[in-house]
Amino acid sequence: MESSWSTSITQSWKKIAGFAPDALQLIIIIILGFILAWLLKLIVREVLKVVKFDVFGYRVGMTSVLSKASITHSPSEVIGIIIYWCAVLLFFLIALGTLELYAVDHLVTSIFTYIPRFVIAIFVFLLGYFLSRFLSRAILIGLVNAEVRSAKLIASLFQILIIILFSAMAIEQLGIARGIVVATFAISFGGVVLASAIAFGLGGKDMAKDILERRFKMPKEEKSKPDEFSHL
Amino acid sequence: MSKEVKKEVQQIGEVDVLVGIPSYNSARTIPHVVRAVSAGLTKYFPKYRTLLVNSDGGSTDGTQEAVKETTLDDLDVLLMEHPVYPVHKIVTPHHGMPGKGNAFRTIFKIASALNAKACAVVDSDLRSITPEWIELLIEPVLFHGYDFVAPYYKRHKYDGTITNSIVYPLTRALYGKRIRQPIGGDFGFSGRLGQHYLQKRVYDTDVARFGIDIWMTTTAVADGFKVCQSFLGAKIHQPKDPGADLSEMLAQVIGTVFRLMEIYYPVWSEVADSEAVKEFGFKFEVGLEPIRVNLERMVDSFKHGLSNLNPIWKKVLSPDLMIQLEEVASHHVVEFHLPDATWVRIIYEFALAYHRKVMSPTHILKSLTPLYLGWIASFVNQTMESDAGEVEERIEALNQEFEKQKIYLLANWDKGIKP
Repeated sequence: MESSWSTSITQSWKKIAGFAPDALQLIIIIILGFILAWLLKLIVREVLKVVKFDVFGYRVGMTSVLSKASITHSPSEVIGIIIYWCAVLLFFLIALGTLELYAVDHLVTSIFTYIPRFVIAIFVFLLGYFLSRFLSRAILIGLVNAEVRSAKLIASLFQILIIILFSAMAIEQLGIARGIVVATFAISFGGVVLASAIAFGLGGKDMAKDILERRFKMPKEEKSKPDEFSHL
Repeated sequence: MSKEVKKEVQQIGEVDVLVGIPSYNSARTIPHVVRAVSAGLTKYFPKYRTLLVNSDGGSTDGTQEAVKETTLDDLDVLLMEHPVYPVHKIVTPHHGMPGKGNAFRTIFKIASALNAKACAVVDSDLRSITPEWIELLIEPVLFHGYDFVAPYYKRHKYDGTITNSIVYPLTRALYGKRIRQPIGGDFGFSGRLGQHYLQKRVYDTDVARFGIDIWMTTTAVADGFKVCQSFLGAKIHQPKDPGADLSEMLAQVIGTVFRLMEIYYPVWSEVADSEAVKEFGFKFEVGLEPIRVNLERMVDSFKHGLSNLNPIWKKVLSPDLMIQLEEVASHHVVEFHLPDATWVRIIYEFALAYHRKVMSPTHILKSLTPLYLGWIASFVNQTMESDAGEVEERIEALNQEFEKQKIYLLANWDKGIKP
């Protein structure tokens, strides 16, 4: 009886003693991870400040997006925080890998394989978002200067189209329900284009008539005549 | 320069006076300009070696042929004394990005290669140019030691609205020289200044298009060259649809002014007030054809801009200014009035937004168009019954407002972007 107890305790102790170095290694890697992640955050934040990333963020509308989401940090600080937690996660996964457990190893490998696709998807989505803002603003200004009545509507529709396009690309990159995403995108995109065409056709009927009349007929009304003075 | 032009330049050797005519599809008007320039050179500078350069941007209507074929038929009637040298002509296409700037670069290069003492450039679509223009643009350089001669025209009270409402008052407030037509398009300059222009790297930018005139004037003033202006009389040129590319034109001209503000901040930040520049020529009144102005369309553009571009303007303009614009927009065409103080603040805040890069520079500049049209509508409303002299007084009042508010611009120049 006594012998079986002592054997069991000895075996448990041996297991703990065998696991302890791994556990210690895990704790050290995690602590090191936090320190290095903090350092990385600091470096990235300072570099972004030096290259005036916050000014760029303001120009492309990043600051207003953050404030809408009630985030009070500057764009460079937000990037720093994202990098901090990514680095922490990375070190955590490396630490788990030291345990050499099959399930953990499998999980770590899957996550490491998925990370690049996830990063690309985020990048594609952000690119689409900022591109849509930039282009819709350019279209809005151009249409307002051309005195097109539905300028805001057309610019907004264009922005939605770009966001849909890039969102579909991002989701496709993540590999989530590919068939459904492609079908949904095709239906949404086609629907928006058709709706825009109908709206433009109905709303722009008079404008199209005016353009054709101006091109092929002599102007009738005084109001349609251009100014005669030179701006320069 | 092409090999043929280089060869021609080598054959000519040196010239004293050079006149350049940049052109693009001006076959109808350029013969008159060439005749006026040739007559001016022959009549007023008979003892000098002179050259006429036509720098063409690839016209397809026979502009270059028209220049080559133009001769001075009535020379005997015109001349007081026989010229020692004939007027040489060089007709050359210019390369690079299309626009007046590259035509000017070709002219500067030829002037530099020929060691020209005094040069002038005149537009190819002028209908009112006379031989006296050449005398008035060249003489201050050749005989009085000036480096830059700006034109001073008599124009219709509503002509040159970008000049009157933004470029003249802003340039005057910034650099302290009262040059009435800083983007006139016809200038005289010394060979020394021509070489200085040639060293600048602006010919592949937007400056090389509509911005080239204000760039020449500002560079001459800010780099300390001796400047003056000559009264040339009326400026009448070939009519074209003025509203066709207004937004693009406004963006290029104002963009150049704002870009130059970045470069010359050390210069303009030290200038406290403005002074008159020496004037040449005899001022006289000229009759000008009446012109049509569509006030309703301009007010409509302003209101349309306010309701659609609001989020963009809010990034550029202060909240109190946005409230003032709402108030202005509430009035009907007849009572439409944009006060001088508001207009000056708008321009200064656009300059600050451009400096702080609050968004794409093109977006900032192009969103100014409806505000500019609003200002013109207000200006026309106020001066409908005024004669040319009264309108000039009105422009002078606007100038003083620009000078008064310069302190606001300076105080905010170094502040960061809005939170």
